[in-house]
Amino acid sequence: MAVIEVRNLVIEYRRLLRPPMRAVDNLSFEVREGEIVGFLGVNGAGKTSTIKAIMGFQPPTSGSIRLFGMPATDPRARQQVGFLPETALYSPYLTPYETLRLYGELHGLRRHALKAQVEALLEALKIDHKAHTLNKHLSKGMLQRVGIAQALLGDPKLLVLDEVSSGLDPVGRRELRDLLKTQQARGATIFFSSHDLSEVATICDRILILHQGRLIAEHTLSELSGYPGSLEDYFVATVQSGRDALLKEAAA
Amino acid sequence: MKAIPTIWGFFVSAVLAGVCVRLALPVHTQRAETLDAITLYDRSAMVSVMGEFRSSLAGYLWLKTDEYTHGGVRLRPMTEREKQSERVHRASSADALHNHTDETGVIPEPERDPRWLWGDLERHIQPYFDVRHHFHRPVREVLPLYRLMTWADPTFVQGYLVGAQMILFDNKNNLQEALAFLQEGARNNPQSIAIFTELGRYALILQNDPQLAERYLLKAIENGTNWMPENPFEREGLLHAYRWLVLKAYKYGDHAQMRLWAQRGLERFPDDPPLKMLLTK
Amino acid sequence: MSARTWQITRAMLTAGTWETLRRKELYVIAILAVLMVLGAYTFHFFGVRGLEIFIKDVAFTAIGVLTTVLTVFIAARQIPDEVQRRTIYPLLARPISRGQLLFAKWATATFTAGFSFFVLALLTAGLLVSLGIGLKPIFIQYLLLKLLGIVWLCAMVMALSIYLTPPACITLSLILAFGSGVFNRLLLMAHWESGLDALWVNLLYGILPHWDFFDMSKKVVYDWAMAPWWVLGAMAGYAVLNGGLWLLLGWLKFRKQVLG
Repeated sequence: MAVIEVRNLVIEYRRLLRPPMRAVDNLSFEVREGEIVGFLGVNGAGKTSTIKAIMGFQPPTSGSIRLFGMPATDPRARQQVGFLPETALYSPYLTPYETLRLYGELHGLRRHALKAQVEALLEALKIDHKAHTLNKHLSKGMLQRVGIAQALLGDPKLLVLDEVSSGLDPVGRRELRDLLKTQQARGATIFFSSHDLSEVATICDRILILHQGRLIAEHTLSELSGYPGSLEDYFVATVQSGRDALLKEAAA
Repeated sequence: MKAIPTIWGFFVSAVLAGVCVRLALPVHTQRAETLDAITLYDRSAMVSVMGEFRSSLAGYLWLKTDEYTHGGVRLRPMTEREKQSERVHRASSADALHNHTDETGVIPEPERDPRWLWGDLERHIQPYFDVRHHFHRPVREVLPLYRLMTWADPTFVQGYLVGAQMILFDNKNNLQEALAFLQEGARNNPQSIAIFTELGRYALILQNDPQLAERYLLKAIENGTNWMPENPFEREGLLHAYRWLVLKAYKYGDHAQMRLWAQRGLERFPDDPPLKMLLTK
Repeated sequence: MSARTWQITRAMLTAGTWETLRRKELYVIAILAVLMVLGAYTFHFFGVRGLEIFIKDVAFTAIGVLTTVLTVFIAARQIPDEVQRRTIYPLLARPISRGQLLFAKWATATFTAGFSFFVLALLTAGLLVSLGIGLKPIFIQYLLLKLLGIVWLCAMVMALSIYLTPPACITLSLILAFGSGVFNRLLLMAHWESGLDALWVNLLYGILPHWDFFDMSKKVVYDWAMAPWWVLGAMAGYAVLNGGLWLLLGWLKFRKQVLG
């Protein structure tokens, strides 16, 4: 079953006195249940725009997006989704404990279930010792852990994570990989963007490479096992060839 | 809130900017009147800026006295159109404390209010009365404001003038207090015209001391010898100094002095009908 | 209100209250108000006696101005702060609609601004009473009317915050709040001086903001009798209807707004 279903997605940004800028160009892909899919691309490739559209924050110019078979804008679809935005600064006047309680209640968790989940996640993300320190006194890495914890509230069936390892130290990244594997083991589907290709190579089942809003490559990690080089080499070569192809297309 | 330090920063910057502006500008461009304020305020930039603050506070309290007297109900001058209209109600005093000339209420009476429910709501939410038969709160409640405004700005001449009147209005036996208040004003404003005229009037009418009255009135005229004040209180003070000298001479049958002061008064105020009339007596 | 909307609102209210208490702006404003009242009272020691009305006037003017500024700042930051911090995304990633989020944020702004006003007013009233300056029962009506005003003002400011940048929203809100009395006078003058039809006056009156109609402080200062209770009922109706229209206006844009 397709957990995320993107069909012919086009996202354009209107600009004053200039033609609209196309951030995503006729993009189609699926993410199936239980998969971990890495969404790759250079800066400005259209990853965040696509993720925003998947989460219903960005209305598509055309095309369709469905989550669990429901339109992405339907709040019921988001009942089963956990989301981590890129570099969110959680309220500086709340503590991690209060932040997680807020998001947990918004998710619909109540009383004992809420308390138990919040405490478990604080412990799992190793922020329990800072649980009652104001967010404004936390480091960037700690805030990222708070963000990951809020995304995991409610045991979502789908995790959408934008730049998930941003701000984490090497130990934190390793712990994150273990955490994501644990989430997959309990049946969660994970769709994430990252610039850390070693992390992608370690945990992903499949990768999607986006360039200038277009999907230029889609492979399982096993398909790439025969490639003579690292995932980073493949990524750089693919993006360059994609760029060449687009330039040729433009010239023609 | 980040705005609060910003507000304080703005306030401090404004004061400093005021000092700089004051330092840069010639003294005489800032203040038209030649009351003691010039010598007091324009001696240094900092005193000048603080002086402006004090005059502003005194002016604010001066405006407040009217609101206090009317229990928070605000009156306003009528427009020319309103003066000609019979529908607009003029404020009339219930106890002759005030002489409301061409004033009406800021909140209109129901019969000339085009607002339906809005008007009724405002009349219940804000202090309101029908200006035709309105009331005044006890004068005693307003007296501290005169004390405060002259304390804040000792050069605020009208505060002394009206304040002394209010002390007497509160209780006719308070003549000594009213005189003390006016004399304090005279000490703080030795160049004032109006205060000495008022002291002369008190001496003539309330103290029955014509010699003292003459001394005060002559001092008032001396203070206004070489200039014509723009300040309406001071200007009126100068005119009244001549009138009271004429009336004093008339009262004591000295017709030559009466005509002399009427003549001198008309040299300064050629169109004043009372002086013209007294000249022909 | 559905149980789900109540749950969302309660969660936002709790977080918003913590934020307000920890931002310290309430303390700064309370200290400012106390200093202003005590400053006015110090004239007592310089020989100026009988200034009860003046002190009350200063106290209630301070409460009025500080409450307006605080309410505008609290309401104006609710949505834009979330967008700026990018926390709007994890909020909207939850199973809540944008309408529910807007409502919960409005309730949070109203509660925190109302709570701040209440604390400020009671603190000032306590200080006045301790200085021997009494207050009449109309003070209760003043409190209620101002709280109704905060309900309305938060709705207006939040709607403006959806359409405008935060500085523009704060500036326009303060102009509309502090200038409401002036606009209303201008309408009356237009009727008397230029013959503006009464129907237009009333229609425009309905559209223009009426923050000044939520202020009974002058009656408290001058010890007037209580107003009829239907006046508060009518103002409650205005706060709900007009405030509801502002929220609707905000929602019409917010529901399809591209965030970030």
